[in-house]
Amino acid sequence: MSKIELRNIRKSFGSTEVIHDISLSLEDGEFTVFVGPSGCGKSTLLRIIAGLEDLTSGEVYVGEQNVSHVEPAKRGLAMVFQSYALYPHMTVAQNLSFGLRVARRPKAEIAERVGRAASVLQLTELLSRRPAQLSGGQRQRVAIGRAIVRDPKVFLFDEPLSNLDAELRVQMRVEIAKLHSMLGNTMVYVTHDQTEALTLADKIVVLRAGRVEQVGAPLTLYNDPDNAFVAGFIGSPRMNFLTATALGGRRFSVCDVEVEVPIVSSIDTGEKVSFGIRPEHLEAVGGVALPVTTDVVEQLGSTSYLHGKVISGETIVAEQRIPQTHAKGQMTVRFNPADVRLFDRNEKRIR
Amino acid sequence: MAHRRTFRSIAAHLLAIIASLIAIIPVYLICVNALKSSAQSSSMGIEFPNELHLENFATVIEQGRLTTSFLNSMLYASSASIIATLFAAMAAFVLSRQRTRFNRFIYLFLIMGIALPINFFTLTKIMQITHLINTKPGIIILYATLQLPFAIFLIYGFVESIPRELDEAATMDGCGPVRIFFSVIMPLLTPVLVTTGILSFLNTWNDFIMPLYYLNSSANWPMTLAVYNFFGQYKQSWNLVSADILLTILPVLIIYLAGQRFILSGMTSGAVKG
Repeated sequence: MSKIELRNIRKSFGSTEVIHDISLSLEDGEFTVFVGPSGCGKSTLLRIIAGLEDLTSGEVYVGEQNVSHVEPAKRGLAMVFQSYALYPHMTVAQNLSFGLRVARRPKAEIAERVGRAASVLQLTELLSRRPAQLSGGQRQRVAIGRAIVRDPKVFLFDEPLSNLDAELRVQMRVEIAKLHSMLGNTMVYVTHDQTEALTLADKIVVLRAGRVEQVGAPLTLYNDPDNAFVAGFIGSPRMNFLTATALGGRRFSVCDVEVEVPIVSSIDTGEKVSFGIRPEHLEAVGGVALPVTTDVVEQLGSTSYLHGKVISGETIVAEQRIPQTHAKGQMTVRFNPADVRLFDRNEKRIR
Repeated sequence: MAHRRTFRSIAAHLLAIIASLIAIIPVYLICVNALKSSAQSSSMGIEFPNELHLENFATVIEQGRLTTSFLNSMLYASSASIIATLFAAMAAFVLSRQRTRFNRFIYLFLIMGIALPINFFTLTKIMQITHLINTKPGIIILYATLQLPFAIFLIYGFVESIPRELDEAATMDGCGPVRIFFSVIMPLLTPVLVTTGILSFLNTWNDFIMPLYYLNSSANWPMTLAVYNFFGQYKQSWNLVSADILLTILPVLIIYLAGQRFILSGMTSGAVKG
């Protein structure tokens, strides 16, 4: 079994605490993605699992074993670094076999394992090259290969795609997803890119300022965010937030338009709430109409993004499937009240 | 404007020519006088030799026991530079990677050694107490120590340029600090280690003072000191002194010319970050 369990993890650098009491359980074979803005502690948390960073307090379990104070190499983990961290003076074959050579495995076993990893990642022809002679995508594959060779219980990825260009990133993302379905190992993946998180993850952990904001399946986070931060972070372009006033019951006034939102709780009349609606839910037909002044229309072929302002002056982005011919001016976008997510003054979701 | 610029460029060239002459004149004097007869060389004049005395070199090698002192010089310079480079690399790795306040102090303290003069009185005392005076190991240790500050300074900046992720990758691969240093860091330091090694070798080879103070027995003398064989015993044999000096310079010249490329690349590539 190779589930990972984090119990009450705290981490301080000097007097500043960067991880505030995080407890998480990552199931066996699950692909978990830590996502959040830079400085949220996602990489630190991964490095704590890896053992590259000491804990201030708390415990890390891999399988049934408490590894909190076990050396990194003996935790049964392998890590893929953001900069690949390939040894520049070694060939691809030497890079792949280095860990095994350090562990003094028999030569035949090393050759066999390196050969297998190389064929899985199509590196066989590159084995005698040095990292400097490889392209970005090939280096990335060697870095992954170095992890595979060690036959770890758990793979850790620290923003592995952020050094690649956009096209290659999509390609490698698919390769990592394939790798996961082929190997079936537990994987933990850190990224600041919500697209990577949504496409790869079985489970997403959204972090902000060293705290877990929400844990759940990608579509759960997308459809049912716990707070305004998660709602804004997951989904691209990000969710629009407009100020609305409660009119009593389930009725709200947003930009002088009265909307009845299907929520269970009731809000005091006059209370200000944050009215969240995703760009893809602002359509040309059906539902409640909202007048918008468009400034810019971005054509993306299959869809177009309208950037504009509502009456209150707040900016709004709408994604429309039907090609927009007119560039600027007055228009209305329409939405279904069921697609609206409401948040209170403390950014908590109102359900 | 144009006039001023040409004047400046002429002045600059003139200055460079004068500086070059100042540097080249001693070498020229040594070269011509090494080939003169004892009588003609007594004034160390700049004129060419009347007749070539190539046998001066043979005389020097034979009578000055130059083979022994050449081997001594080789032993001192090579072992001191290897020891200094290895220890400096290890120190620089630790000091650069573990930036505690204490290590920062140690680094600055060691670097001060580049600027501070040597106090020969206390050094003599220490050489006596440690029984290193008048011994070959003693002079080797002394030379290695003298080269350390500059060597650490050179390598320290270079360690910075090696990403820490490599250390971490090696840690994940199961390496301890010692293995990280020898398997990952040291191979990547090669350019600066070659530079440091060559500079330490040249500095040690060229030194005259340390063996003069700390090696009494002429059997232990390096080449620079062997020149003393021609004072006194052969009064004012300037032709032999010149020939000896020329032979001493020769290995330095060869090593410098061969290693020039490394010296420059190693000095500049690590220096960007400090």
